[in-house]
Amino acid sequence: MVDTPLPLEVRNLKKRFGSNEVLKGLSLQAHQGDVITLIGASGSGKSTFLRCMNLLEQPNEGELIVHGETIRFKETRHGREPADWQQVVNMRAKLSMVFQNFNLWAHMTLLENVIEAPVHVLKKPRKEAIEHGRALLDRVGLLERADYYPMQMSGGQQQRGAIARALAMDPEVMLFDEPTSALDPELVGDVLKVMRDLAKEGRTMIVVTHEMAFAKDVSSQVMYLHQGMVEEAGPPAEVLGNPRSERLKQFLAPKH
Amino acid sequence: MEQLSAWFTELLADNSIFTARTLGYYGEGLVTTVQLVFLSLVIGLVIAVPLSIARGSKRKWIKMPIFFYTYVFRGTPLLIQLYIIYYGVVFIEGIQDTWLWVILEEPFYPALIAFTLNTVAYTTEIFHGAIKATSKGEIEAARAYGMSKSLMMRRIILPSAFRRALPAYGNEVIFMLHASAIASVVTIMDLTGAARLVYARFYAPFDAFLFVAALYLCLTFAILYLFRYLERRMLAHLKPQS
Amino acid sequence: MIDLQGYGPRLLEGALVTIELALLSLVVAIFLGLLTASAKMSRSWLLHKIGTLYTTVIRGVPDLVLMLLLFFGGQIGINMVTDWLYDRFGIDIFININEFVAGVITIGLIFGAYMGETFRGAFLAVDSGQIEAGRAYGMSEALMFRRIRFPQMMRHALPGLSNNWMVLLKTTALVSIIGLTDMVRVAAEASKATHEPFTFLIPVAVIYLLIASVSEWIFARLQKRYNVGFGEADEWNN
Repeated sequence: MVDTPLPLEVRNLKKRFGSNEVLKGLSLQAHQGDVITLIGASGSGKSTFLRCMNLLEQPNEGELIVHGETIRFKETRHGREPADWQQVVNMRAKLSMVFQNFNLWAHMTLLENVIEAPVHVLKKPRKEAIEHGRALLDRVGLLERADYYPMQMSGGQQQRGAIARALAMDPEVMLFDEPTSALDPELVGDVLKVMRDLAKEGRTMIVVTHEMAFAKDVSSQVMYLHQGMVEEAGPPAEVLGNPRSERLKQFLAPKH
Repeated sequence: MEQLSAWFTELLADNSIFTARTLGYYGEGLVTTVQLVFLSLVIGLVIAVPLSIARGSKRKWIKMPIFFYTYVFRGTPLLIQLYIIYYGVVFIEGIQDTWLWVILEEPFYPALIAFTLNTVAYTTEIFHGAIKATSKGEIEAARAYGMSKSLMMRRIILPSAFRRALPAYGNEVIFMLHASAIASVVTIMDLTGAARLVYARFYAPFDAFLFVAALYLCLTFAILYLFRYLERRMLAHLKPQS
Repeated sequence: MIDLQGYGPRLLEGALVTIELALLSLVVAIFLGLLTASAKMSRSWLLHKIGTLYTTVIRGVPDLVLMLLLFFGGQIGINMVTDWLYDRFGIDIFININEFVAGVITIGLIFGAYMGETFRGAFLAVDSGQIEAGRAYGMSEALMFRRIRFPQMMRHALPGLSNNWMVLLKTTALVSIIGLTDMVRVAAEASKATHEPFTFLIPVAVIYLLIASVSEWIFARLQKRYNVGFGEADEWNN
């Protein structure tokens, strides 16, 4: 048990924009099959935290350990940078991200989007990638849209397609950055359903979201962030069911 | 068909300007114009693609010279550029005694150089703009999926930038066709050169220039339809389905 | 003043010709452009067709060919008219086209077509709700044009206008081919006479760059002025 490396561990991560410290030493341990939701008001740093995990943002301090491998950094004139970009590339292939605005590649069909990184980054044989990709599209209910371009689909379809793209990487951990925030309310349900199914089958997921019902039902752990620090963390029943701080109580209070 | 050719022969016999001989001038002119424009565009494209990538470099010493080059060549008339290269070559001391003169004696080559340099400048800026306009989210997704910089350029940025640049590049092609008319100034017998010859011989400006204008109009429309076709095929992905 | 083997003053005169020619042509082009835009947006079928024909033909034919046609054909055309007047009515007038005027008319005519497209696009880009609001507040069509449509249209038209002007400026170089003594012609003649092309052609290129740079600066200022109230919105988009 102790010997299997954690899929993802973050230690004491700090991030500054200029003199403004937005992440003030955050840590996280994701075990196999964990679903960790990050909640908090806008500006609390939850998205930045997530983006630091696959180094879309460069943290100024802290350690990042992916599947037992520590990411190496070096100090440069412009601040801290990864010492070995190849290591970062390998790491990113293990943590696949789903974005708020889907970010599907507009000049490729949905299926081409799904097989792009497996073929060109993971060097999978094309035929195999297509087979796998079609199976994944079938799973998210979009097989008949395989040859559509992203602009020809609804937001909900695009996001489910983007999840299929993430799954095609066979990721260790899936990172979700507010996956339903850009969607019309009636399209949110389909996307959340796909995510619930993923959690059920034991995927390790880290999710930034405003969907409290999802956080409550699905997560193994909830972290409430405020001004770059963890204010409360623990099982959802504890954090969401019995909030201790006044701030979290207010945050969870139904808004009218 | 026979009637048509009879009618055509009659028409030709009836006028003293559009004889088989003058039509021959126009025909040769057409070939020269198409050669000149096509060659400069193809060579220009090959040079402009790497330049447009380098133009977006973070390093000043790479991007500044390219910016300076495009600024100068887009900010001055092509005619001046043509004169500088044409006269600049012709008046080099002793050039007429070297083997280079065999090539450069033909005004075709100085003109080809000038046109190529000019279209490289415009095309570089068009592609640079299209590359810059690549959606930030799509680039971020490419990074998040572990693509290296060169892979991202090859698979994501350039394919989408080329498609986006298509309408502007179509305009550049038409612009080059029209700009090539000044080749006649350095005694090249292109389409306009042929028209000027016919004008000078018969002193008939309407016939000489209206005819050539119609030819240019046809060429322009041909290019326009070609690019419309390409856009329909390659920009389909940007049209939302309704 | 730099003497340039005696060509300095002539080059300077040529530069003035270039600038005057460009500015006057711009005025003609803007006037024709507004006319064309109105014609193309009008409900009259005929006006619409005429506008479309004008912009299509002009933009489909090289500037130089149009210039040669209008310049050499124009004189003959006018001679035909004056001959006819003399034969028919005994009116004896002789009109000799002045090269400068011919240049202004030709370039104005060419760029009127481009301006027409620019203005049409800009008018169409003005939010129809703005016009509705003007109507709702009892503005007359004329008042609305002056106070709402035109200022808002300018915001959309300025980038195209600026672009057209830059192309127009470079197109003026072509008048040297039909015999007008602008700075390009002076430089070309001097190059041939002295066999020192760079001495004359490079300064002319620099003058073009200078005019272009100054114009760019002016247009940037204008754009700022007409962008008032839209600036923040644009920032967000970036």
